[in-house]
Amino acid sequence: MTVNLAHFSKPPSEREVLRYALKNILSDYADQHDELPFNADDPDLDTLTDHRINFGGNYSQLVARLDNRFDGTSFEVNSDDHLDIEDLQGIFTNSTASYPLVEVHPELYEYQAQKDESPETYVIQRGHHGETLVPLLIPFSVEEESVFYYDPFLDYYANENAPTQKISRGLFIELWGRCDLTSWALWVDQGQQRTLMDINEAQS
Amino acid sequence: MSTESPLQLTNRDFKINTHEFGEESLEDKIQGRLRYYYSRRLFVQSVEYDPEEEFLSATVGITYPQDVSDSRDGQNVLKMVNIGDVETLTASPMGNEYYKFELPPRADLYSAYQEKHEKLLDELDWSMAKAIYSRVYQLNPVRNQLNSIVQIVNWVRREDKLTVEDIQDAQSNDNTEKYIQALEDLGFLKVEGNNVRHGRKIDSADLQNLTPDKFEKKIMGDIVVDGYYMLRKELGLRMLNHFPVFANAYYISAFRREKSNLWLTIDDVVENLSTEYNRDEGRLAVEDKLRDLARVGVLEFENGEVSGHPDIYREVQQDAPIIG
Repeated sequence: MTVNLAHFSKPPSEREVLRYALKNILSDYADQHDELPFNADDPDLDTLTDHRINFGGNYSQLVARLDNRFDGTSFEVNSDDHLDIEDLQGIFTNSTASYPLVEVHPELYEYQAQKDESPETYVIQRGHHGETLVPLLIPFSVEEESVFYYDPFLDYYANENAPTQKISRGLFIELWGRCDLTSWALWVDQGQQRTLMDINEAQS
Repeated sequence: MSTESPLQLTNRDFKINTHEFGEESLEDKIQGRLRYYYSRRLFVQSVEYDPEEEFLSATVGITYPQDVSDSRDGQNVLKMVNIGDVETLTASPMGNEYYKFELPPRADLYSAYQEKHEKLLDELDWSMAKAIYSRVYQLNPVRNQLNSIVQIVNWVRREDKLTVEDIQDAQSNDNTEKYIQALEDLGFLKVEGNNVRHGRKIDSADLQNLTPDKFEKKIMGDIVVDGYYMLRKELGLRMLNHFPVFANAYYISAFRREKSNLWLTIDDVVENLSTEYNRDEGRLAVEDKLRDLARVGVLEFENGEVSGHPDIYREVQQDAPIIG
């Protein structure tokens, strides 16, 4: 499974990963959905995520602001946790839905380092409180054995286009579930909305 | 109460049922919700939970990625900078092991982070200033700005019966009186009535029998170390942290990478000035400063790339705060 990532734009800095991941899913989606009130040159991308230098942006305002933006259209922003892999698969096969943003457990990088297949890699050094990077990914497809995804940091480091990354389906489910936002995804769809704010969380 | 959800996030607050989660999982769940609400760069540094006292609080920090790759080495390295102790949020007990965190405005948490970040940089600049002062003192902009102070020190050593007016007349500088006051406060001068004399700190430097050049370097070093904040903030001697900031715009990456011979491009340094110090400096001006710093042995400069000096790296690191 290879997806052409040429139309995704590379983050210009290591600190603008969320903004560019968002820009990529929205401009890809706008390609297929002319009526989406968004274009790739949107100057408000930082405002959407409440992005501040070093401090970063957040999802709760992103959801609220996209909601506002989509008001009066058929588009809805979805942000939900405790999803199943089948839910994710449903997003890919549903032509009215965008690619999702997901977060997975930082251990992803340790598995990747062991695998070390790609020449385009990067090493993560933890900070002095032991905190590390929570990977933000755009998955493309779930197959019987594998999940394929785009990693904005790899694109930042890659000389050419970012290579498509692959992870085993079971490991993806594990790392997605072990993240502090359990099996969470954010995506745009037409129709019914699901949001994390005020939704009930069952014990994991 | 089993029908109620163990985790509820609204626009104002966040409720959690501690009964549902183990200690590690509690920290994780609080972090997930606070990260969702405030910033995906937030982390929960520690949680204090005492069921007996019905006490629950979470101390949070901010972590952000910094590209600290060596420009002469193919490996890409991303350092996660951790700025801890940004804020402690305390929950109120609601009974039945439910606790509620009132969520302060996002702008408040951002300000707390900025303050913490600025404080760390300020301490880093101070450590750098002490370590490199005797070297950057050779640079004209620094020397020019401190010239009035050097003059006052030289005159009081030479003349026994100087008055404040004598010094004011000799200097075409509005700040003369403030300098005299500052040097008196710091113990370098003694002012009795209208008479200005050398103070105990000049006397003790005098005992070392230094050559005039070395004496000047020594006494100015002492003045800068003892009066760094006062001279800079009250008397506007901005040169005192001017070169330390440019030096740190390189060294901050070296410290975070823990590599004294890390090579960076000028663009990397320009970017550090912008992202860490919030200063937009042109590439050409930055290169000039880096060349100046290389000339006096604070940095290495070669083919448009910068590297550290092992002595400076070691000295500043011993004294500086951990900056991530």
